[in-house]
Amino acid sequence: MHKKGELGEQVSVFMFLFLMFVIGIGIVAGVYIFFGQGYDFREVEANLLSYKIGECIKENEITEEFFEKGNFFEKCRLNKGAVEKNNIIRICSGVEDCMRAEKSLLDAGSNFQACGFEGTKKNEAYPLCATNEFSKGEKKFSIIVGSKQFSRRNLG
Amino acid sequence: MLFSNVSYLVLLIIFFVGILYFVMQQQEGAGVWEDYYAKEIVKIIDFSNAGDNICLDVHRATEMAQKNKVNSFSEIFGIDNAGNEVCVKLGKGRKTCFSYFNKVDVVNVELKLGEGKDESERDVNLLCFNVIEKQQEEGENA
Repeated sequence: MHKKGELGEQVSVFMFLFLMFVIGIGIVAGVYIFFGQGYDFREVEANLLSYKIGECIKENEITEEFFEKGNFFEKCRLNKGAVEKNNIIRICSGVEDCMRAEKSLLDAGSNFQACGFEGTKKNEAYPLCATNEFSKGEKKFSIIVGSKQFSRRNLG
Repeated sequence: MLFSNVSYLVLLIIFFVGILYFVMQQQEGAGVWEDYYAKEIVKIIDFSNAGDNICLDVHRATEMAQKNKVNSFSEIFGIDNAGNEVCVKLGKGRKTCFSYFNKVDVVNVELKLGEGKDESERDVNLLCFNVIEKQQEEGENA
């Protein structure tokens, strides 16, 4: 007997919930848009590390042992654990394309080809890279450094 | 009719409290500023050499932490030499951490309240620390 009236009330409950949902989504989206995505430090870090490695190679005597991993990190005052976790490094000498070269003087990490992909610059799953080329004596060095580090939110 | 109105009111209150909680959680973008300060401090540590003494203007961060009721100033900035990590906490419950690659230790981390001056000669809070040679060997280069 009252079916019409009951239906009207149910429809208004759905409308009410739907409106709250839309307003809620609007507020959440507004807050995220206002505060933005944060500051992408990967390129800065890659440039900084590449600069440090370049200076280290220029300042030190380059022997075969210099590029042995333990020795290299010690001489260049780099924390091996932190670099291997957050960065990739490739150093080449006397090659045209260090990114795709089969031989290198030092490799820390892998997937250096990702540094050459143009479409990945906004993709957070790929590292952002810096390249540095310079000569020391008769040798020409190429350095590719990538950073894949993002800040971590921990409880504390 | 009364029941229906009360249920609408209850739903509205739940919704309002939920939204208020979410907005309060943002705490003036504390997460964004934590991220910014952690990365800037890491940049300075990565650039520094053993023997450097560094002081940074962290006035905005300290003001925000105080507003967000972080218990003590010593909780705001944490530098973990063993983990090569800088953590910044500007709100209750969470902190933002970022790693540095420079093989140095950061010691004598001290927050100096009102000891610095900004461009308009106002007193500002400073975060000061010394950068020294790495003391503790993690055996990582073995």
